[in-house]
Amino acid sequence: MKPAPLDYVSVSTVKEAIDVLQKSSGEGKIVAGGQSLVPMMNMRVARPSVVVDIGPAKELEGITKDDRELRVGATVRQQALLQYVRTIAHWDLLAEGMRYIGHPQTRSMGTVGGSIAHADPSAELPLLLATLGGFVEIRGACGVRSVSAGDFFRFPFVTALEPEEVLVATRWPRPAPGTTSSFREFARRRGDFAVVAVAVTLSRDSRGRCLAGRLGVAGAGGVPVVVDLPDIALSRPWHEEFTRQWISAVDEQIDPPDDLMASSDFRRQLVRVLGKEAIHEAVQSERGG
Amino acid sequence: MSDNATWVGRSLPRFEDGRLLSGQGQFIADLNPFPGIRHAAILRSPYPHANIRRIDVRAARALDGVVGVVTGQDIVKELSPFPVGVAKPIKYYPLAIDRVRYVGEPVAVVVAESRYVAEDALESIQVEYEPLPVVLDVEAATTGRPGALHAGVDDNVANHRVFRYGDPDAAMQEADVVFEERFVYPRNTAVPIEGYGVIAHYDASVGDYTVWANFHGPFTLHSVMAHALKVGTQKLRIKTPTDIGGSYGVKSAIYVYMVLMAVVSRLVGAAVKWTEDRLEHMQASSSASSRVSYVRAAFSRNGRLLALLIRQYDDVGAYIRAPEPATLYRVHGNLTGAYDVRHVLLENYAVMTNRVPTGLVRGYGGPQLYFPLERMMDIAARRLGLDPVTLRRRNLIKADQFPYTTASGGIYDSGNYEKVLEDAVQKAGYWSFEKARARRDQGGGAIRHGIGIALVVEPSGSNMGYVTVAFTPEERARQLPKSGAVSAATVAIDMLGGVTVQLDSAPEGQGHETVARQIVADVLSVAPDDIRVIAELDTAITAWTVSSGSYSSRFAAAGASAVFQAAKKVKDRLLRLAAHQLGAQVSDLVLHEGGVWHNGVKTSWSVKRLAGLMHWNPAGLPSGLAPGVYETAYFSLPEVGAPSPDDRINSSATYGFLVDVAKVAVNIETGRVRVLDYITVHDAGRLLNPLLADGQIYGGLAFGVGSALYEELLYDDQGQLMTGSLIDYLVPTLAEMPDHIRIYHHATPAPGTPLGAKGLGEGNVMSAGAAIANAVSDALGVEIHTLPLSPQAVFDAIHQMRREDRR
Repeated sequence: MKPAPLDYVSVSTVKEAIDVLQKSSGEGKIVAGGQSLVPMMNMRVARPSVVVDIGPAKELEGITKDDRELRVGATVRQQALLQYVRTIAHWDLLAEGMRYIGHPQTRSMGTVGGSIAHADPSAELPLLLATLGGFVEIRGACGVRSVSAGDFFRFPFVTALEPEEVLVATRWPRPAPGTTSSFREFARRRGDFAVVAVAVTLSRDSRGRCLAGRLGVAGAGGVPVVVDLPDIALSRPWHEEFTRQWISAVDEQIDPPDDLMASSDFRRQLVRVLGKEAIHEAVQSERGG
Repeated sequence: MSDNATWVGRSLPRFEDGRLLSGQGQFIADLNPFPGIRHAAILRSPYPHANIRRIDVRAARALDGVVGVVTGQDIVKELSPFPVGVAKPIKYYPLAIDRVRYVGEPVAVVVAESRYVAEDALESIQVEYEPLPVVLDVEAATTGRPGALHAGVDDNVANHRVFRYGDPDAAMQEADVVFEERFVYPRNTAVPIEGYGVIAHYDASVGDYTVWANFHGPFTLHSVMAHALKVGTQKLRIKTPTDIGGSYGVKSAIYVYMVLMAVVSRLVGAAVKWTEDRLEHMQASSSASSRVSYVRAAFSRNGRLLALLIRQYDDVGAYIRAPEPATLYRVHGNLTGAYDVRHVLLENYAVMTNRVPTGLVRGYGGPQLYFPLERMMDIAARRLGLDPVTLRRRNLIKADQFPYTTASGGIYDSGNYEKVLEDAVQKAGYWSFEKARARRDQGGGAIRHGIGIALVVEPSGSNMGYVTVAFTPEERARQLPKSGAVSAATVAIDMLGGVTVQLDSAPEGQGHETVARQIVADVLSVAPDDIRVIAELDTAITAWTVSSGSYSSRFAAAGASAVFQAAKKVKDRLLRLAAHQLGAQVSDLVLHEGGVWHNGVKTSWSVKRLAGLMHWNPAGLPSGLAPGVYETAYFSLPEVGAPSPDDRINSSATYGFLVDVAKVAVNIETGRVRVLDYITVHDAGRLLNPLLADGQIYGGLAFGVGSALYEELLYDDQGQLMTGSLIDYLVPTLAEMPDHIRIYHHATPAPGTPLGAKGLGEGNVMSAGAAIANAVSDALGVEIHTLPLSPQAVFDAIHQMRREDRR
């Protein structure tokens, strides 16, 4: 388990990183926390000719918050974001879901941008970004572009990121007032990748009428699947029938894989069970301001 | 000794932990005994079964930094095949010669300046394979015509034996009911944190091999290695490091790599170091045998077990590697568990398949026996309309039957099974569970509660002769008999009173150094801190025997006894000198607090002064007392003879007992099994150190929980390993352990050892799978026949139940 020969370049700016990637003609790979890439390199499954370490790039650090969103620099460690969102209002779903990412040790090394760019179909952060309707900020030679989570995740481990681009930040919109949420995960062991994970947000007005809702699922397809609250529920107070309809809409939209951890049928069953639990919890939660 | 023990029996914290927790352990990877040592990497087969048509290593040899490349064709001239423990013509070499038989089988070794370069070079070796049909099904050996793995073994059956004890046929006739079930115990493994590591040096000037390895025995394998290397045993010197980072048996199979690196060192002319990585370990080190068991149990109407008929197929993998087929025989003497059954028919098959060869894994042979046996008792109880505890009680060996000789020749040395069972049932609140369950499961939620019990007679101190039961009595008659369970230890005192103890157990983390200190401190009446224990074993200078090493939970019974006897020999010599100095009788002297007491009066003589006199003034010693304070004892456990001509064997020197009760909550929507409460009651004789004993039980239970709920080495139908990393092979962590674990001890002394102790580190590996499966069966009303009970497996079992309900 030693990596194939490679060049290691440490950069202090995004521009430098882009330059190195361009020179490597598609063979370069960015490393930050290294929690996924380094084991893959050691197994020689990943064989980048150049590894670009963006750790020293100051511009990729930091979390900023305004009225509309949370902007998280690419190299912010997962543990740092988790600690931050625990201390602020509104991003409850993020705080809840991030607890399930690996272990404190891996979270202390792994970065938020790294997990999003890696796009593991069972990972929590892509699911959370997709469910919250977030964006990925990407810089290339021609400038900066912003891609919605829905467009960013293409296939398992494949994203809209081009080989010569750098993911610079993720943006997490502030949920509308009156939004409640819930997160459920089924994993074989504590800290494992999810067999299935479900994230739910539900916004209601002051009289309890449904305004919007999103239910995201990881582990039931190649990318996170997000299904909106069925139209029939809009502008109406919550009714248990909506759960059934929402779950059945989800069931239609997922195509769960069959693998070592779970059969496709079993995954569907888990989505139904976790989905129902998550919806119930979101419905019953106190609505924030 | 028990009357004046100060240290033995106390929960002394582990002496080893100071260095281990501060990062100062000395493991094999820390050793660099030669300047300019070179590093090896191994090319492994991507095919489960294929002929090797051609290997081209030229490009690899040409790579900068490569010292040499060795293939099967290079070693076949140098080595003899490893001796195998069966009468079949199976040629097993440490490198594939012209055919590969499992994914991960070594095909070539590159030696280079660094492991990086060596791994780069592996990629430039060209191998042309011709794939062959893959054999994975053990039962096909007797039902179909699988392709042969080895010339001369057309059916792939490496070992087939039938044993008949009592009159099983007559007992079957007499029985009111006979139940038959098929069980499958999965292939799983140990996953020590540290993998294999070998450093080999061939000294061409004298023709000697020195091999450092985290090998822990059994040291019978020393002769196997020397045979393969075609040298006298004196030319193979094996050294173990101070610390071994766990093994749980699996590192005993490192001997294959020790021979490989030894011959590679010779061929490339350099000292070679090889450190196994995790992928290699998962794919190609060793694993437990999976087993298919057909169990027929004949009962009288009132629940008396009259006869047991077992037909079992072990998957031993691609080669039958010594000491296999021992998985089938390690528990031969305790085949009938805790039950008084006189009529047994046993049919054993060891079948070769295109999977990694099997070997020792904690519990060796135990879970493969007890999972089917203890599941069968539950199934029978339900069908007989009896409670599982009631049925077991009716068949238990009674306290007044000890020592109890089993149908297959085991001699259960001591115990009180009824008392332990009653205690476990009471501690678990077994009889009140039913009411509580009715309360908890009402309302139709997703959770179902269940309770399960398992009884295990836990063997320890293996009889070296048991492996020869694989041979027929006629075959055995042509060999020299093999028997015994011996351990050696040395205790020395230097000229200023420093005490040193040398072990032969090559511990893998169990804490033998701590226990040895306690024993010697008691015998010599000195403080544990005044004693240094050397655990490194060097076959050229350490006192050892063929059965040395740490396996079969043998330290408490064998190793500790040898330490005790060696310390006693030292004490006897000191007292003889003291008697001479004091003009007293030895029988009037005792050691107390490091001093010599004469008829209850403290004298001026101490252990330190007496030892000093031995060293400094040998001319003043009384006649008959030789100088030096350096005593070695070889302790032989009693009652472990060679197999009898009618195939009876006392396969272990001593037998403990445990009863486990598991309470589970099964979520019928997600298939998740949660172990709420786990009660385990042990009788392992006298506990030398209760803290370490409980540590062993927690560890054994973690293993058992892993095999029950998480762990399986899965191969696809093409023979590819699907669980080759720790992402897919799920070892339970602390978070997966039962919510509550309660441990209780009974202490019926082992009569055959001076300290009265039995082994106890493997029992829960043997019991937990059965106890948890029994509890899940109880919760769901579905009989479980295989492990692990993954959520998917439970989900499938629930669906099966619903299908059956609809019929």
